[in-house]
Amino acid sequence: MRTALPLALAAALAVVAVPAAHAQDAAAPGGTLLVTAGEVHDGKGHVFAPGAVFIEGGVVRHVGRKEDISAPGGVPVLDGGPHGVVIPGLVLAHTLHLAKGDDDPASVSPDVRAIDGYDFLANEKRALASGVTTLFVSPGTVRVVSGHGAVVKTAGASPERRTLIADAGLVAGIGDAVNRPPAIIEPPDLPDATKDPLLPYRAQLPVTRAGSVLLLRDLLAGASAPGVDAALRDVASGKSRLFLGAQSQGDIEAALDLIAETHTKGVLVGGMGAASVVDRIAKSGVPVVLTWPDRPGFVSATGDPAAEETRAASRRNAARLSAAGVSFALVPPDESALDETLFVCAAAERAGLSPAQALAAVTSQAASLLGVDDRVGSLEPGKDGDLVLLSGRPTDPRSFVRNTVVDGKIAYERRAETGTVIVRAAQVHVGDGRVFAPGEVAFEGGKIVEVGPSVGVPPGARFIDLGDGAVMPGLIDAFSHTGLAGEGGGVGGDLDTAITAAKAVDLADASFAHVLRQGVTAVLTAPAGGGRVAGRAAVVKTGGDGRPARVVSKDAGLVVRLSQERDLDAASKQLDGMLKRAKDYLASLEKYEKEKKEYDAWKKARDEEEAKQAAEEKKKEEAEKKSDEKKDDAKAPADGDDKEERGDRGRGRARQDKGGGGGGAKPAPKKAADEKTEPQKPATDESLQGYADALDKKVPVLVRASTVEELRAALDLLVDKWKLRVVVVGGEESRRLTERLSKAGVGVIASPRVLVTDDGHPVNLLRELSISGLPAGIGSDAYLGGAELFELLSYAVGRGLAPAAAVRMATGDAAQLLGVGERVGTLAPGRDADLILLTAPPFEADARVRSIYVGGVEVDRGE
Amino acid sequence: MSRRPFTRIALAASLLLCGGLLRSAPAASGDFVVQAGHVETGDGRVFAQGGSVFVSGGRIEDVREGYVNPWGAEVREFKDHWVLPGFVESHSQGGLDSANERAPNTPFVSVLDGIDPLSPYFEDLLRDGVTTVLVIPGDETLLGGQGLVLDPVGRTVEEMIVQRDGGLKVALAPRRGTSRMAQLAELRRTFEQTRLAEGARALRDPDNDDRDPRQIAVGRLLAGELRAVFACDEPVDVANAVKLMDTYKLKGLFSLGPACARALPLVKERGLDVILPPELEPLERDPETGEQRRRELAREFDEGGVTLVLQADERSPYGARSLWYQAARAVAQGVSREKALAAVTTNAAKLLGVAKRVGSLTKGLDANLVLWTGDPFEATSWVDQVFVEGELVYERSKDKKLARLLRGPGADTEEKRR
Repeated sequence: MRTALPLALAAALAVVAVPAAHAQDAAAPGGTLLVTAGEVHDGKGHVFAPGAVFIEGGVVRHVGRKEDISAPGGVPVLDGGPHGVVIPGLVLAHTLHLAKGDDDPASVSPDVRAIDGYDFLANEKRALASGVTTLFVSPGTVRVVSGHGAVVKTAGASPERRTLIADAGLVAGIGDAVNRPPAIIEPPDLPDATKDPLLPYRAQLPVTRAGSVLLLRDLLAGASAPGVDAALRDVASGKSRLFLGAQSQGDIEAALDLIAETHTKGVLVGGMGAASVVDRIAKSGVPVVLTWPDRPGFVSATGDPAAEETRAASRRNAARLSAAGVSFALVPPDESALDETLFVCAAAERAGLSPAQALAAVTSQAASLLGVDDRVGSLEPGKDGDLVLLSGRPTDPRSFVRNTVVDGKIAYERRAETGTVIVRAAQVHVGDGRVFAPGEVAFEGGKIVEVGPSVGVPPGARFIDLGDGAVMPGLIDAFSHTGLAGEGGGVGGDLDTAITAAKAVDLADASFAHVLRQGVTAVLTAPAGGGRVAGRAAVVKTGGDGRPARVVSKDAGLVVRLSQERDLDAASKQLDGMLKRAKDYLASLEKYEKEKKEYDAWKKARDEEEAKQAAEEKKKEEAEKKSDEKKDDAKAPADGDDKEERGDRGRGRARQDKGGGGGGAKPAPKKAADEKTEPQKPATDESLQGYADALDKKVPVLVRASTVEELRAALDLLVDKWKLRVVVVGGEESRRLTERLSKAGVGVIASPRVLVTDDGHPVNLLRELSISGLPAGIGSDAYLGGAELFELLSYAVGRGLAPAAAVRMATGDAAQLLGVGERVGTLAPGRDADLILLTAPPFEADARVRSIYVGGVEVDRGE
Repeated sequence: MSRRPFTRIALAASLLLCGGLLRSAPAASGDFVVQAGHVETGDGRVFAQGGSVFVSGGRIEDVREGYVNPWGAEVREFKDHWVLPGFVESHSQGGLDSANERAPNTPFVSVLDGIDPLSPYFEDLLRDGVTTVLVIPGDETLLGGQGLVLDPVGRTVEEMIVQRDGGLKVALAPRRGTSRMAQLAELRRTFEQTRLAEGARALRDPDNDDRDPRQIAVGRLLAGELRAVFACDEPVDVANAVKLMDTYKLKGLFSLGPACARALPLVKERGLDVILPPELEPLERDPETGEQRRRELAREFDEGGVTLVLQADERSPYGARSLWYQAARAVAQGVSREKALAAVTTNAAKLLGVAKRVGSLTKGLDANLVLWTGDPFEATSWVDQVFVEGELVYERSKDKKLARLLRGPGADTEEKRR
């Protein structure tokens, strides 16, 4: 109660504060919004970079450079960021964007109105999601006169405000498209069978171009008669437009003639064959709505070489018309490609059109050709606040619509999907030594999907732009005791080889979070004891959810020690003895399993044989019984049940007597010759079992060895004698044995020092390892030491190690050495999305951790 | 109207004879009191502890709480039953041999000439507790013809009529193979032609011998004498119908399609009389993502402040063929029980303009009573008896077809074998 009162007061105050702004909002037809972005294209050829658009009450007030425009406080801001681009809402100068249904069967039906078919209550998300805010809706294209078109907006406060022109012009056509009208039947309203026993179909004009021209000429000539619809009269008198569909060169010429002859305000629609009549079109001053000849994303080629030739040539029509100074608009080929307008622009640009012209063809020019340029088509003060915020340049195929604004209100916002995230950076360290500068890495569902100088961008992808920053795989501490605190906080000792560190590790241990904050996303955690065989190590991720996701490798190697020994020989012998015992045990186990298998097979065969015999016996007996029962039945039929039971019992007894111990372990005496005894299982020793993977070379032996002597002893014993996979941990003097190590395929985990003293001189061990070409990683050999890995690497870089090599050793190479390269270590497709985002290239003085991702999830955000 | 009108006339005559005695002892022969365990009047009154409905001369005379009989009439006891007004089906093509003519523009036809009074559809209505229905041509048309408001009892259509001007079907949704624009253009053409013909008034003048019989219905529509029943598939159809209403000053009501949920703001703004579609839970697909969403029309329209009226679909083999099921669905969606009941009784009667005859148990209205074995919105309840204008027209115990249906397949043959 005590807290509720102030809250209620605050709420009341908030209500008091709001009304002023609210009332204003309700009165205005649209919203108030400030839009800023890296570039603002006004649709008339001007570009402001960075730019801003201020919309007030649904109407554009200011457009210009970002710094020149300020909005009053409290105005909502839509910020597109440095890569965002603002363009005017797209205007499609011709669409069949109407609900389903066929065209009116009549060749000439000037009383059909597209506005009747346009659904203001329909969900226009598809158009808005592709940036289309204004449409010319056509009543059809397959009749000589289909009716009146309308110009509407795809969003807005009311149908009235959304209707730019209800009767925007008559849609007509000439040529093949309209040349095959159906024959129509006109039934009388009342059946009058005496007069018209059969109703004939009436054939309609036209089947020729001349027919279509004739019909049009008649219609326009008769339009001035009294009683004719006003909309048609306006077309005939040149007040309203005549949209004339004409594709071939002949159609276009006929259309131009008709327009000149009837003094109508014509617009050509189609224009596939415009190439050879560009000059005539230019001279006539008739604008053109060019239909793009290809359906984006589909192969549209027909089998007709000539037609394909024309189609291919028609792709350059836009550029040709532009050069000749013809006003034109571009539209996608059909309704299904409505959302491909920007792709069509880009395609026209590839076919020679300038970027500014391509944009104008779907914005300002399209609007002026429709007669709606006083409201839409460009971003200028006084026009409707309709704009599109793109993720990149309009004709970059990788760009997509982020927001569509209509009348200053956000009519469409691409939903923030969990989908793909793309990190752009000045440097992308893949982790295998490669660096893309600049580069991009994409991840999705917790896994890397792509990496390279420039990756694919599915629409709706989220961008993280690091600018001059860098991205690299999460670091791997290749030898640590992280998570193995043991009881009382002290780092534990040896682990029984019966278990691995993966079992002993506490995933909630505080050390994981600590090292994760410093960029270490995976660790090899090994028992910290000093025993000859310390136990089995595991690779564990420092972040993420659940044991299955976090334990990358349950068994990453057998940790043994040959370092810091007074008597290296004895130590070596001891280790040899331990390995031998394990091997003997495993061999005896193997022998037992082999024998057991043979025995089982033999036993199975014998049991089957016995069962078969028993069945035969049973059959024989049953036959006997049957004859007995027949006799019994005749004597006492009422006693049936009881007798059956008795019979069963009798049968069982008989089997026992004759078969003799059917299911017992002891075989029949007569088969004693090939008798086998069940083998004895050797006493189980789980500890020795723990050596199995190392002896089978499934996992490496991680041998702690530093001096040349120790390294030699390790190689002699483990590689030469036992032929095991070996990784050296420590390896301070390994540069002296480079050749032997490399020949044996032995890697080195430098741990924990980078600078070693060799022959009285300080030597950068990591640099030496890097140039020697030995696979190498770096390990902290500590419980919390992973946190200093990055500093350690920086130091090594300061002492001559290449930055890319430093990243490689702490990520990709380490993962390879530990056998977990398929999961972590590199930014390669399929690997876990464990990455570090830095504000500058790694190891530079101003490089700070911006954020850390594990499994595609941001786990830490740097200060 | 052979049976009931005669009884009614006979009653009226006897009442006249009795004169002043009526006030103190109103019960005449044929009057009765239904005493039921649970009475809902349809206009909001509920007597859950028992109620008595006094029926006199085929009409409701009084409804009171408790088991009473101050009128001294014959008592019919249904202490285990629920009594509700007969339901009102607001839009149907039941009882017609075919929903529409092939020719689209047939405003002159009337279901009067097409209804089969013996159609099993009318029996089914009684089984479902429906006692009033608007039968009108279907939606696959332009101007489809005229409907009638009927009760499901009678040997001829004339006997069944409750309201002669049921409305003229005007389909805004395009017929198969036509576009919406063409549909609207053709509607306008027809209206303009009728206007031009000679002015609508002359068309309606019965003394005018020159009038074209085909244009009379449209003439009456344009004069506001006949209401339009607009069939709408998509929200745009509602908007277009409103445009037509404004242009031609039409009166009308709307039968909505499942996609019309998006027309709710318009329906609200203009206060339109709407009938929700039989499909009360349509799926709507997002055009961008392709995701589907289930809408709940009864709840959405109710929350939007629209007076609910429901319809059943006689062609559906499932629950939606019964009006009680439709009301129960509305309750399942979260509409109050009271509103759901009104949606199939009083609201529907008001929408059809027959609220002075049917829709509730109110003094003076037709005694259309339905006796249910329990709550009509429960699937386990049955209609036991139906009274239309005070006459017992349905008894479950005598419903042989239902009995056979419930015995299951093969029961008959087995019976014969015995």
